[in-house]
Amino acid sequence: MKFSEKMKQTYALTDVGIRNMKKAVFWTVIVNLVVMGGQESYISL
Amino acid sequence: MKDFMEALTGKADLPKLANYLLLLGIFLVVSLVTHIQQYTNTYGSVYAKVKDVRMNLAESLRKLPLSFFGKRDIADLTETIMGDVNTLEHVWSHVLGYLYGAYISTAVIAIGLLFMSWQLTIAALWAVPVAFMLLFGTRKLVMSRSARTRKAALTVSDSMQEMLECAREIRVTNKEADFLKQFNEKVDTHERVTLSGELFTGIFVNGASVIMRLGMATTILAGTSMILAGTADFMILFMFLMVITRIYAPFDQSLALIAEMFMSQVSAGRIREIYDTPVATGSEDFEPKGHDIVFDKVSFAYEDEGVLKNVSFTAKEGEVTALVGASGSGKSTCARLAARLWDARSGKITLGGVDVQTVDPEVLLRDYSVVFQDVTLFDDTVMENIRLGKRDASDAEVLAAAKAANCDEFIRNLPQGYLTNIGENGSKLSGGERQRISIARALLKNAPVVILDEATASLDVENETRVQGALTRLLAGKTVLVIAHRMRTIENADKVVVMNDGRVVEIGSPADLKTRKTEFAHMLQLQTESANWVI
Repeated sequence: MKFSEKMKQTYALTDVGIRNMKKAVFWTVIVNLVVMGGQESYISL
Repeated sequence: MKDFMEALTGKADLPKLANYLLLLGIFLVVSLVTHIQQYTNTYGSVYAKVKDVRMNLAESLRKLPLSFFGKRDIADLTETIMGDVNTLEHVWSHVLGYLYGAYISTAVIAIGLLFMSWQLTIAALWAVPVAFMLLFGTRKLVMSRSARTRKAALTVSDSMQEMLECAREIRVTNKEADFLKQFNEKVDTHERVTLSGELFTGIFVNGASVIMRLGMATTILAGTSMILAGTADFMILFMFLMVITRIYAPFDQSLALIAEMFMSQVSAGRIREIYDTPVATGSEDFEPKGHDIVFDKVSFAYEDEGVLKNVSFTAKEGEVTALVGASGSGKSTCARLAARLWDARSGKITLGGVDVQTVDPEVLLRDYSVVFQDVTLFDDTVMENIRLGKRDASDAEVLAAAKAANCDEFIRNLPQGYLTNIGENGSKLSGGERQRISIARALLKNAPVVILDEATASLDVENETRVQGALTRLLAGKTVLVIAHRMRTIENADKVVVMNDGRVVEIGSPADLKTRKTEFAHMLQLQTESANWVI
């Protein structure tokens, strides 16, 4: 079963819910990278 | 940072602050923008959609066949729409995006760290998969505990609902103390099950959290060993320590929520059950030729219990067809199948030559007025309760229907007349008044098919006379299906269909059936004997 189908089944998500979740994951990754990248670049300097 | 460290240890001058402040400013702006985006796409989008989820569930429930409501009671469904959606709302907004985002960002950062020092990377991150393996390994146990907690909560709400619905019976049978004791036991059980579930989950969540903290210790140990061995410098260890605190932060938070994520799968299963149950559908084009209702070898069963067996009869337009028989003989089921409140298992029911199962239930019900023995009224004004029969009816039409249903007099005596709020399910009205309001609704709707399901069974003589007057006006020229226990009320029916144990045993006019001396004549005799009984 595709990941998104499995998520829909497991967490009662709709198609819109899956789209929103993908966006949420994307921006969480960006936030984590920005915060950690920021620290790393400061230390590296 | 290195320049600052060297300045602090006296090896060099302080570096220029401007570059650092500029970098700090850029970092703050980027961080702010990305945090806002993250918030909007996690919490914001979920909160905006939760109302839609509840509305979709309510809409699905509205379209489900009535057989579904035999499997899940009202308290259970209310808990799904409110409680289960609440549980999932928190998981959708606080857990899923956060957790999967943490997986991906950690993987990306781990790859970057590997290039700096693979030994320190392993020392820092080994604990993450171990901690999560521990939690995922106990997932089924957590879910079964969660199902038990949910079941205990439902038992409490069922019990509460029963106490409220049966308050009168409990009081007159002096069972208040017994019910309170039982209720107290159920609340205690719920509390015990919830606490043990929380404790069980807490042990594994905290265990995983402790394992994760070990990663910090192993990083320090490995880092200091490497510094002492001269294979790494202090700045690398310092950077690893800074980074792993950031890596652990989302995981730490997720660990606390991951148990909730597992538990939410129980709620999701209950919601999916509603979504996955097939709804009654059909064509919206419905053009019947007349309004004869024909039952052709119809059989029906609730689950495995056969209720109707091979039932065939015709209710003609302009005639009154009465369904009679003992309780449980299948009369009410016939009426409900005719209006497609349920679907027959086999055979065919047609209205005006069109198979009712091919018609959208909402479109079909436009041709039906149904008056039940148990009238349902809404916590609204009398005017709006009658207007339910025809949403676009004018006030004048509502008043005309109320007059025809013999309601006008008692409505005008209410404190605010037609604008009086009648309370939850019309609690401020008597049984006869409630019944007449439901007939006014049916009169206003003026549908070509009328189903009367024991419409006058619980009324006193005065109210029954008034209701009968209203009914006479409602039934003129319609296809009428009457379910009645009192033989007197169907004396003028055009046709009587006698049912026994889910089968049609006799069909004919009342006068004809009386002379046959079979089932109908037997029922008449029993009612006559009953009417002559005195205390």
